[in-house]
Amino acid sequence: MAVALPFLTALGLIILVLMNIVFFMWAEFKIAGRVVDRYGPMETGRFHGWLQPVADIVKFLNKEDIVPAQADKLVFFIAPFVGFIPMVMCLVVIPYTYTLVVRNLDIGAFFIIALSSFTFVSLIMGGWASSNKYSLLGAFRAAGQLLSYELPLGLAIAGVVMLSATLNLSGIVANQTVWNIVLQPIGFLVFMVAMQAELQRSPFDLAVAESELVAGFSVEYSGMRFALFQLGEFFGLWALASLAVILFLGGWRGPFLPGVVWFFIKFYAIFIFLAFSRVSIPRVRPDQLMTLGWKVLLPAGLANIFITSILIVTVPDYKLPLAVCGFVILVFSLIFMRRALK
Amino acid sequence: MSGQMVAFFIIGFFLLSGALYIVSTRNIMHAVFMHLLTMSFVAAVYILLYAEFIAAMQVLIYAGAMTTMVIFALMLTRTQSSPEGMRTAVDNQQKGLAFLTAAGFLAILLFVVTREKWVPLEGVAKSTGSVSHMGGIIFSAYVLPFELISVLLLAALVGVVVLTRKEN
Repeated sequence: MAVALPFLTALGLIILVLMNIVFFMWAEFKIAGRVVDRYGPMETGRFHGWLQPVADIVKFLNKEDIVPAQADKLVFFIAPFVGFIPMVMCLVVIPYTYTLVVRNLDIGAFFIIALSSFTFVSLIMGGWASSNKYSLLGAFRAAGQLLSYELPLGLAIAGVVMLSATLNLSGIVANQTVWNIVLQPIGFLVFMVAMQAELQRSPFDLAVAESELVAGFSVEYSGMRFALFQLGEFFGLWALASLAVILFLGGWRGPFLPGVVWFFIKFYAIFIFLAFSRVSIPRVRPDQLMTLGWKVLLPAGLANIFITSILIVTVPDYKLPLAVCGFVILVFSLIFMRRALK
Repeated sequence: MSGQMVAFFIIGFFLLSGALYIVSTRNIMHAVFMHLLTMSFVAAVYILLYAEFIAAMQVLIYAGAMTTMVIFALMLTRTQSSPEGMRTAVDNQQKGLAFLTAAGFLAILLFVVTREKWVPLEGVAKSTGSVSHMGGIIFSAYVLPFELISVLLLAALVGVVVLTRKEN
């Protein structure tokens, strides 16, 4: 029984995540619909179309699995798995409460960053093996984007790691007497923007821009293989949104309610933010994407690390000055961000 | 035979077959993608040795960054980037030299491995593989090589900017 326990935890976790992903899909339909003054799905399952995601999954399962004649079959088959499996592995280190974690690795935060580097190889594998110029273009757009935003993402995490002096995610939550969003406002901003770029969600969905590239790297994918790419993205969303909660919003900390409830309240706050940002911001141009990544987020992240390290070393009670400095740079970063997106 | 040994031999089998595939395939893109998998198996070996941080580094740098760099280099230098165009594009003119280099490296490795007095893994690796220990020794005993590497990288970065800038 003791041997089977980690496996049972992992299995339970995957079921929990999958059920939540079904809910995500429905909630995104609904939010996107409401924002553009429509109802979203209303028919399937009678009550507000709650069975719509299930119907979509069944549709994916029933679709014919088409492989282009010119495709490199082996790479074409493997590509979705290379993207999907590392994203599932990310879930291993995420602590929902102090005890509810599959494996409390010492390198927690770094583990997720390392595994997310598989994503762009999977996109290139898919795009190249499809033997289609639109897929290849989409894949390379995606690769450039992921490379550019991996760096700010890492810098945002580095600031938090410096404050808590550990990479262990449980340790990071345990050290947050004040939420890190107060001490690391720029880190939070950089993380939230870089996270959407890493997940290729709507303001940053250049790689799958339907109106320009048909559907980017996934043009030739259909049925379950396409669904696997999508599922990988949802698992990535889960991992990075959880990471945002743990690093910046105090994880399971909170009064009255049990820890796991607080965790999911914060988690869904992040998710709703992402869902709204997806439908309310127009897609960025490739040059804006690069300007934002390299000329705004990267310098902001570096400035954040610079100030954080200096204050931690020189000022004994660094929390208040850190928050003030952070807020000032945050205002400047927002101004530059606005200019970059003009 | 302990579970660790069994895992080591399974990983070693996949690692070596992957490495053989890389050097024997005629499709250079397959070699690149297999490089990713092989490097992940190297990371698995590090995990067996309790060096989780090095394993994550291995994945991030070799499996992620190196593979991407090679892919970009290939795509920028080939005229045919389709699966068909990559099939017979492997350059084999320097076979002999490559074999000599690899054999020489193997000889050095064998020399070191046989001369080294090995200590049992338990206890030692658990403390030396941790992030805090790694950080401690990088910024104390090995601070000079660390700084040299950062200067080298900075020089490479400046070099790239100079080389790619258009003359006006």
